[in-house]
Amino acid sequence: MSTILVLLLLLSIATLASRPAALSGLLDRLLTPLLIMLGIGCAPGGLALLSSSLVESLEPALAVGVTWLGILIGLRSASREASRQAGRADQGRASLRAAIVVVSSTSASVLLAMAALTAPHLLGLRRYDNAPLLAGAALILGGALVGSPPIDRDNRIELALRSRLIDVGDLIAVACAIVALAILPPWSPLPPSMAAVVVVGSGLLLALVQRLLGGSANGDPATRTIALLGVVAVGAGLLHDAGLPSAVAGLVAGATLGYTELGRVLRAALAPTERPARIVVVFLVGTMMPLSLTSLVVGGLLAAGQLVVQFVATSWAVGHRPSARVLATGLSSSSAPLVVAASYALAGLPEGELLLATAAVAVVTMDVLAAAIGLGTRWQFPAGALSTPPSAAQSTPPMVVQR
Amino acid sequence: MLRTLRNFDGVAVHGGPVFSLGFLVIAGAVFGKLASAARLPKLTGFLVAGILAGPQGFAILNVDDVKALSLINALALALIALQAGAELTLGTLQRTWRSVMWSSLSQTSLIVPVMALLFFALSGSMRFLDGLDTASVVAVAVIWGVLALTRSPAVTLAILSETRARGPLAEHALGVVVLLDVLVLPLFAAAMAVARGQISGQAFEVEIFAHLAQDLFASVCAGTAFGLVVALLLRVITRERVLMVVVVGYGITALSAYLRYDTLLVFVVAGFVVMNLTRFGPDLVKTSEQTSAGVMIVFFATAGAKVDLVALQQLWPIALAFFFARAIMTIIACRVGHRLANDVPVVTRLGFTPFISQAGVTIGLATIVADVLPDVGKALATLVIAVVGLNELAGPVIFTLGLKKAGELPPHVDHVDHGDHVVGG
Repeated sequence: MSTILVLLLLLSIATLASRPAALSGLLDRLLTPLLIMLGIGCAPGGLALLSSSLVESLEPALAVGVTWLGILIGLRSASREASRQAGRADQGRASLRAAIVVVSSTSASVLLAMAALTAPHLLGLRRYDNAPLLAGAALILGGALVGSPPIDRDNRIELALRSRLIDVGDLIAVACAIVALAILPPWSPLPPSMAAVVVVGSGLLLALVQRLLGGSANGDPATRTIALLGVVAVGAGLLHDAGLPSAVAGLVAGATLGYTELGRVLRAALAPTERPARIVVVFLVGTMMPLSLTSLVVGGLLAAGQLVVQFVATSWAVGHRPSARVLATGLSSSSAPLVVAASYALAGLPEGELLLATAAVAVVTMDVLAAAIGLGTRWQFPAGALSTPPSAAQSTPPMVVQR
Repeated sequence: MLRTLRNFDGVAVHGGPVFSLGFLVIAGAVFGKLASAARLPKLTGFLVAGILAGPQGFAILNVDDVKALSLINALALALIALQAGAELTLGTLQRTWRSVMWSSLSQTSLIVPVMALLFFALSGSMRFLDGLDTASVVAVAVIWGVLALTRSPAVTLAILSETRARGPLAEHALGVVVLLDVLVLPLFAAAMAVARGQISGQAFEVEIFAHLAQDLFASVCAGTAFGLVVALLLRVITRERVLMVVVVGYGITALSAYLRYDTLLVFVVAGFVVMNLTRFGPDLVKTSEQTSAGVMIVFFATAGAKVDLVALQQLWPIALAFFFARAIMTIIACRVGHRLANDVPVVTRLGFTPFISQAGVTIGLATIVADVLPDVGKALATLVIAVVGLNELAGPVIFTLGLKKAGELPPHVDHVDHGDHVVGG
């Protein structure tokens, strides 16, 4: 009967998620934390509504889910539509500033992550026991969590800057996840450098196969979606079995496709699948992550660090103290950290489950902080957030603050 | 290419069920297009893709993979049955009930005895029947006759969904295939009870019919209740309906299995209730179609992967004989039924075309025979699987040709669409 319970649970979530009126305001902003906690509650370590064997049997579904989301995040990262709305001079200035903001905030985020990851050692808790693992984990978490600081829409330069930041925001997670592959200690049958090459190559191959099978931008939408489903499952199956993070290949494939006309069409066609996929993935992450004191400490520190990074980066970028609305939008997490961390955990990275639990705690804390900071304001959700209500998404003009 | 993909730097990678799922989706989609280009239904392409990739083909998928992918079957059958129920509007039933009743009656009364007689006549050439007395052979022959009556609701529905055919033949096919699916159950139970008594010496239990009637009645009641629940959910859930349909599909399947209801009947009734008693019928059809596009490819490709080529190779002469005999009897029975019902000429002439297909239902019943009558059942099941393999490949083509000849395919479609439309989508 546990299968039925899980299904009914997901049904309830889908019901609640589709009723913005019932989940308006604070509750809707906290959907990711609620789903994670629901997953933890149902897991064998919680109320044991789900057996260990059932959770284990759901792993392939999570592998497909994270690869699918990886492609969607990759597709979004290559969006350049917004930048067309600003003049060339503005774009040039914005590109320079964006580069500085992104490089500095990412570096700060990774350094903060590294500091947070060493904290368990000082507290005598379970820790990442070697330098390459620590550096790789810091890159994965720091790169995925930082995203791009949101900018208020006060003038044209800020608009252009914002669109540039959107361009590169999720690509940071991609780049950091790839670099981490080469840094991490070998755990798959492949040496690290080869693993990185294979993952990137697989991503490019997936994009090529999708291009060949999915037809042109003018082709049939059903064929494109089905081809992508096949491509994602083949990629996830092979990479998962080879002990490699399939979501990273998905990110590469998505980013590659995103720069083509087909990518624009795919982005629009796949948008309706994103929310259900996220609901399932976030819930499954909750059921599979082993919560520990280490993950709570490191996750909390990471979230606090992100608050500082977002505040400083946004203040510098716009030249004044950011409003609570802007800060809340920036802090509200996208699903990139969970997707990348889950993918590494599924690939069998040593301490991968700890990494996943840490990312989940960080994401949950960031969302709670964002909800607290944005209390009483009408802040928007980041583009990849789970909690985007349709009314907000529809009413959001293209250049409004998003991440 | 595939071997290269599966060997990263000399490391052998299998990929497991997720890889198999993706491979079947891609291969099914490609072969579906090829079939479409060859003026065949896409479904045939999916089946061929499965046969080639399956354990007895190029062995890209192993037996475990196929077993794991069978999880998709529950969802596929749920979607098919929901859509079937939704297609059965009160207006359709009013128009076709007479034709459906006569066709079902004539098929039942002609196909079962004639196929049983043929089986009995050929029993001398079937070694697995050696050692059985005449009465036992007759009992097994009756089981064979009942199995010959089974059709494939899944294939019929998938072809109707793929071609978007509309007309008397399509309506008639839908009604008969659902009714026969219900009629076969008591017939099969009776045949099994007799055979068990004859071969294993177990007493004939009349109560099984009472239990069966109770189960069928309970299935209808449950289907009605689930239909109302689905309508309520469609009213409440406005955004994640694909997720809802998936959850409802698996949830009701699990509940029906737990309560021993006829899952197919439950879903057909649920679809019927949503379409005819609420205003959410079109929403259900739309959501089911959105969900079923990829699911159908995997479902039929998996069915192809399960085709027992070895059995077909060993038993092809006798399997071919049974295949032709069943097809001829189906033609005769349908013509008789439609003449009695005074149907329009197109239905009288082509009314047999939907009923050549056989698939999962038949194999499922054959598996029960193999379990209950281990001495002869396993060999009988192998023969059934060989015949089903032929019916599975020929059936969709014949039905599609029938729809084309009946002029029930949409004007912009030749036989099936040559665009990129995928079955169910």
